[in-house]
Parts: sequence; C-alpha cells; structure tokens
Amino acid sequence: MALNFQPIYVLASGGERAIENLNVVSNNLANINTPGFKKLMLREMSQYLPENKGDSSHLFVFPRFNDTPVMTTQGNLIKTDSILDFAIFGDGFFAVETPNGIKYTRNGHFLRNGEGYIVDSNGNYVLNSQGKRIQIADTTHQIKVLNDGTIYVGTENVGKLMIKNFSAVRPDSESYYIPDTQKNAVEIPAKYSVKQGYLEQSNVNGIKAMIELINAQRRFEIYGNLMRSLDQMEQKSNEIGRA
Amino acid sequence: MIRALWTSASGMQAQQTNLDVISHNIANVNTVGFKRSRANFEDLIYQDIKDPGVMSSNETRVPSGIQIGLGVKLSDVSKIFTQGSLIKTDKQLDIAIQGEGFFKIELPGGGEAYTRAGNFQIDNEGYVVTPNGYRLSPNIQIASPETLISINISPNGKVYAVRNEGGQQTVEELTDIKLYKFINPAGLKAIGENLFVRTEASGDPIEGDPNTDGFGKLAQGFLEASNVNIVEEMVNLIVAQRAYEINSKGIITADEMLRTVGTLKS
Repeated sequence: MALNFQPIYVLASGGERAIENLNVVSNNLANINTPGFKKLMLREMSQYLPENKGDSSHLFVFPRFNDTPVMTTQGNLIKTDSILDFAIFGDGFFAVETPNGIKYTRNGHFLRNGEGYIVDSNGNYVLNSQGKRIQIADTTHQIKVLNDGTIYVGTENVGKLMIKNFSAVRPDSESYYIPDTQKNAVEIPAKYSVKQGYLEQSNVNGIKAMIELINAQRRFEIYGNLMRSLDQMEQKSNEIGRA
Repeated sequence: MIRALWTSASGMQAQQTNLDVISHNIANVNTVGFKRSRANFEDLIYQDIKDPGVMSSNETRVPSGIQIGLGVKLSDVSKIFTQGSLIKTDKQLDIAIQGEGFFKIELPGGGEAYTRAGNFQIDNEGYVVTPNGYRLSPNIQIASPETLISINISPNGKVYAVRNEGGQQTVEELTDIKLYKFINPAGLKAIGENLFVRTEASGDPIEGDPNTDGFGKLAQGFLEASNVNIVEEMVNLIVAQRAYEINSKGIITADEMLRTVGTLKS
C-alpha cells in the first residue's frame, strides 16, 4: 500500500469547518442580548475531488463552506417604555443614513439629537419614506408612531418611517445590514407593524446554540481521532518492511 | 488559535457591563428622582472569508464566502426618563414634577445642573437649596423665617410665603419656579448627586412655566421616587448572568478543541 495522505486532508478540511462553525456560533452567543441582532448560520457543501486521478478518488468528498446566510426570523419584543424605541414585528428594516451610504437595521433604539433629528445610537440619521432625515424640534407634544410607521407629533402627521425589505442581506457591524449584492438581492415587499416603546431582542436561541457548541466540539474530536488512527496505520505499514 | 475565544470573551465583557448598569439601578432603587439606565449593545465587524478553491466540472454550486463576526460591543448606556411614582411626604419644600422638565440648580463655582429630585431645604440665608446646599435657579429667597407660617407652591410654579406680621396674616409672592426641558434628555450627562449637565447631544435647555406647553406640573409635599422597577431589574440580572455563563461555554469549547489539536500527535 502506497502512502496515502488524501483522507487526512479530507478530515482536516472537516476540522476547519467545525472551527468555523464554532466561530459563527460564538458570535451569535456574544450577541444574545443585542437588540435587533439576527443570527447567522454556517452552510456547508460537499465537493468531490477534481478528476485528476483514478476513479477511486471520487470516493473522497471534501466538506467546504458555502455561505453564512442571515436568519431573519422574528425576535421577541420587550417593553422598554422609551418613546423612541421601535420594534418591527414582521419583515423589513429601518433605513439609516450613515457616512458610508444608507444601511438598514432592526435595532430600533433611537434618540433625538440636540437638533431634534431622530438618530440611532451611533448618531446616524433615521430616514423617512421619502429618504429624508426626520426632524422633530417640537418638545411640547407627544411623539406617537402608528403600526404602519406614520409619525404624529400631537395631531400633526410629520411623515412615515422608511421600512424596506430585501431578499438577502449581509451583516455590516454596529447592528447594520446591507443588501447582499453577491446574492443579487432585490427589494421585496414587507408585511410589518411598528411597535412604539418596544425593542426586538436578538433571535439567538440559547439552547440551540449550546447544542451547536457541543456538536462542533465532538465533530472536531472525531476528526482528530480518525486522523490519529490513520497515522498509526501508516506507522504500522512503515514498520512491516523492517528486518 | 481559535477566533471564538476572543468572540466569546467580548460577549462576557458586554454582560459584565450590563451587570454594572443593572446593579447601579438596583442600588438607587430608593433614590429620589433617580432615572434608570439601560446598556445597549451592537455587533462588531465581520470578516469576509472567501474560498477561491477549484470546483469540479460536475459541481455547479460555487462557494460565495462566509462572514465571521467578531463579537459584541457596548453601543451606549442611556437613561430612561419615564415618570417615577409620587410619594406623599407633607414637607413644604418637597416638590415633585408630574410630567416633563427639570429643576435648574446653580453649581458652586459657576455652571448649571438639572435635577428631578425636588427635596429642597432652606439654607441659613433663606435660599431654597438642594440637600447639598446648591441653590435652585432662579433663586428663591425666603427672608425673616420668624414670621413665616407656611410656604405654598402652586402647580404652575407660583411660590407664596404666608406670614404672621403682628397678628396680621399676609401673603408675599416670591420668585416663580421655572422648569427646563431638553430635546434629547437621554443625552444629558449624569454627574452624581442626582444632577445632570447639558451636553452637545442633549441640546440647549428650553425654559418654561410648569403646567404649560407640555411642561409637567408641580406637586408640593410630594417626592418623585426612582423609576427603577425592581422586578424588571431582577429579570435583567438573570438574563445577564445566563448570557455570561453561556458565553463562557464558548470559551471552554474552543479550549477543548485546542486540546484535541494538541493530542493529535502522540
């Protein structure tokens, strides 16, 4: 039997996937209390070896990563009693004007800045359905936001929150998401209702994430044990030739 | 080393800050005019990992790359200015604000601060001051305490001193109490002693009379309790502790996987 290291590489590739899986899960866990956070999932794929050898090598299938889609399932709503905390129940994202263009967020923890503009906690401007900043300088009347995102100051209608939905988004840090151009994201209609005085919790499920941690670790150990066994077999075949 | 170690560490750190904020709220559950804070978090940056790799001819799917997030960070700790409940004290100079607005206080050495805590007293010169001796602004001076029967404060900020002068009951009108509002009260900076100071974020104070234009009305003989809801804080405490614990499991898992690597070569 000639030396055959191919299986070791297949196993090593599996080990890398287990580590990536741990990295993705630990980021989900780190953000278990981040409002509006959407968990990511590691999607894997299998790849046959290119046909560079005999047919038997078709037995080898490499586990490879494919992508990490954002799971946009609904998170729980918690009551905060802050007038400018909004949660979206349903689909879509709030639109925020940042120095690097318009980004989208599910984290509706907004404030009024010193000039009366509605901003998020990074100081970026929340946009209305016309794509304009929202300025409410009036401090005498209550701000009320209806389920469809229409903003009233007292009895005056001052516009509507922009809420957009996309077929695929990618995370862009600081609670922002952007349409995923690699997946040819298009805008799709959103069915939503806006809840004033609530924030959406992250949609990370602690129990599932713990299971994934266990899964990643044991999977890694299995690959390790198999590698060790293969190594021992190679050793044995080396020793056969000794006098 | 495995990135998850640091990712989970950032999660533990975030929960520690969360715990600090919650315990500060609980510590001030009986502080007059105290407003609770909430810690808010955001995710950190994501690393794009592309996999150029060779694809076989009979494999049509192409890996599009994965994004590995690096954890979590604190975005802000913001005060929540909801109304606290009113407690009847029957003290003449205990004033609670029902609704929006702050009292203005003169700091020693110049500068102004704002407070919701209306537990005032009279100092030796007759000025209305906070328990720390800082004067209420505009200053209210109540002279000759020997003839004073009572001080009456109306809901709209009028202050009257009722006196007994030689058997005659007289009513003297003193300086009005003004209230101050901010466009973004959450942007105020807390400096301790129940006081807040203005910042760029809060905007400039807007002066007004109590009980007009959306300013709150004054209630004499009442104090505003803190708006800390102890049950809610206890729940937050549980959530913070469990999140801390669960993130430590991420570190343990990464550690065990590194141990596996270490034992590959016997």
